[in-house]
Amino acid sequence: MTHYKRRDCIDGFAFILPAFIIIFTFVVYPSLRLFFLSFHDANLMGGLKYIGLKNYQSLVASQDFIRSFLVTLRFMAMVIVVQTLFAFIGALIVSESRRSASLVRTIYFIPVIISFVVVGYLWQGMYNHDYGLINSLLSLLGFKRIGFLSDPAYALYALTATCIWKSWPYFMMIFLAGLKEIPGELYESAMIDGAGELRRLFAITIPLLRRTTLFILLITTMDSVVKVFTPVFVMTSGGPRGSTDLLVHYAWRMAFRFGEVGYSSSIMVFVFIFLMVVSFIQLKIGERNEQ
Amino acid sequence: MKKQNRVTLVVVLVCSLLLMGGGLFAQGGKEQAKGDKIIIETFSDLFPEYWIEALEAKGLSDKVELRMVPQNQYENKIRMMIAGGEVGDIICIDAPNIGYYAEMNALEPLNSYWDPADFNDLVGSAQQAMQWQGQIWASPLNEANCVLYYNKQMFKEAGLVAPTKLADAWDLDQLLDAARKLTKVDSRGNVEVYGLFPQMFSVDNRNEGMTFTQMLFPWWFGADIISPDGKTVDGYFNSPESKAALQYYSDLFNVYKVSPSIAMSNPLASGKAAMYINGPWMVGTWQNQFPDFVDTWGAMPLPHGKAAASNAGSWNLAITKQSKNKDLAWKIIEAITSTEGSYIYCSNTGNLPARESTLELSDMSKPPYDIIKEQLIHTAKSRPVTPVYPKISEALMDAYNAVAFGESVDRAFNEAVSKMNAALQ
Repeated sequence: MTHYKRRDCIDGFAFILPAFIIIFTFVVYPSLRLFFLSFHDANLMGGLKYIGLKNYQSLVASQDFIRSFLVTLRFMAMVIVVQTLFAFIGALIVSESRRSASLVRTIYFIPVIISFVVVGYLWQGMYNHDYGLINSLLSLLGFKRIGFLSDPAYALYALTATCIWKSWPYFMMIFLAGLKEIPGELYESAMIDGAGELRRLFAITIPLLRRTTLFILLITTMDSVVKVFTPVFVMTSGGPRGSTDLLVHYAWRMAFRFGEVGYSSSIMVFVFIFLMVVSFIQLKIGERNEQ
Repeated sequence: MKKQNRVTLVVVLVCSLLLMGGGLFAQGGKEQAKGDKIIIETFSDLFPEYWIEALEAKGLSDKVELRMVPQNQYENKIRMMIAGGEVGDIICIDAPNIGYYAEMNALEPLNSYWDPADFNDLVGSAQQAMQWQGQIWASPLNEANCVLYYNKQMFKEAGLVAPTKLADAWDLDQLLDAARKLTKVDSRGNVEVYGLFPQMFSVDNRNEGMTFTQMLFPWWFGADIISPDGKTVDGYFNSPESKAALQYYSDLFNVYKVSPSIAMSNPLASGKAAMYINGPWMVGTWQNQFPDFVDTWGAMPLPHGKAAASNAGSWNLAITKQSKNKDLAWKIIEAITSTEGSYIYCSNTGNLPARESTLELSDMSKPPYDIIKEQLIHTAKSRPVTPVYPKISEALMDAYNAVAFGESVDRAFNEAVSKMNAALQ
């Protein structure tokens, strides 16, 4: 390596050093520590003892964990399907409307920039059994009031609706960016060939949005498993009867309520592996469709 | 890269590192400066401002610094501070968690500090709650106890007369009969008024207030929660009496439909429930938030089954193992929780004294305090002190909440037993 190249190298490393220090401190080291702790009997207030795979054995034997995993799967499936559909349909509608498009986009985008804590409290109020907006409307129309967050039959749906309400506009924007990338000539040619709206949608729009859709599905999958702690914590605390106790909240409960950091780490390692597998499958399906 | 840019880059990096390091060291220096004061970790809902008068009387007020943590983050923050070696000299602990902190070697035992005669001044339930494995670990700020509140108007309309003395307390059959008489259903079959709201919050809640009131049911049926050696629930929570208690609770919601499984806030004051189990703090809540309701509520002793029991146990002060000045820390605890200190604290906050001598000084002649005074002396029980209390509490609460939502008693009961025994092993 010449002196000039070595100097360049040093400069390059110097530039990435601050980012490297931050990423190593807050991402790499905690992740490695998580794996390490998952093989230990570790308490929040100290004490560390190697126990091999015992935490993982407890995990698969735990009814709470299995219930929490199934709840997470249901939540994930609902969010992926409904949110992606909303975002796609929203993007189609917004991209069509020429007038006041930017105003509409801004209004739609408002939930995205509101903190999840605020959104949680807002919807908690709207769902309230006695004075909430939704139940007041139901009562006005002669329907029975519903315990949206207090009835195990409804709580997960209510939580899912809140999460979708907050996040779908973000993904709508990504679909919009994808729609803009599709050359207008393709639609013009199709129209000359007599293709109707539906035909254009299925023959041009959807196939050409495949990569955007794959990206959205990957991000939504991860978000629906990992970034859901705040709404659960604020709105339901995992209840009623564990009906909204998603894996991240369950892991938090184990670590911070019961002090079982080792067991909690094994839950999050499981989440990591689960997401890796799901993402890998999604990517493989995406690649196959591409071919 | 130009030399000037390289210099700029180096300067920026060095400045960033200095700023980061400076911040860390500055904080460390600040902690150091507090070394001569006793730091108490607390939160505003405990009203620590009322400790100052007692400390002033002993000339200790300038020796104390209160470090406030939001209540909903308190437990987590304290545990992390203990783990990081940064906790103050004194911490506030909810009674059933004393065993957990003691087991983690986070607390200093108080036996060598506390005069046994003075310790015996605590009411029985408080004495029981402060001890774990033969050692005393904390000193109570106050005691807690619940009564059965009722709506006087609704009682009058139903022709019911509430007992006023502990000796006349209802049994569980009388409670159920009254709840059935008080439940009102409209022409469409919707319940307008529920006869009994049998726990502190709606059954979709998961917090210690739920366990605090739901644990009364196994006690009333003659069951306890865990064995005295703290190793099993077999023969205690796992007993026919305890299962019968869960069945009784389930029937309130599912068979007789006198209790609501829907979410409800302020059930008694809003007129949606006719009877409500809760503590003396409700008096202040009704005075401040529902002034029109003040003449409508009444209080009676908690009912009894095979056994009479009332719930007890509140917040306490303990010295941390990490404290560098444990003698001074004890003097501060002594000043706050002494007869005089607890009188100042309890008379200002409306809390119940945990000392018999303070109870004598306090005006306990009016409801609900007259009933509570009797209950504290004769029927009060504290929740089990065990290092795994959080798990025991959650298992019990989950079982009771589940049956309220219609879960089978067998299933909820077995699940709770298996979770409790797993936690204790």
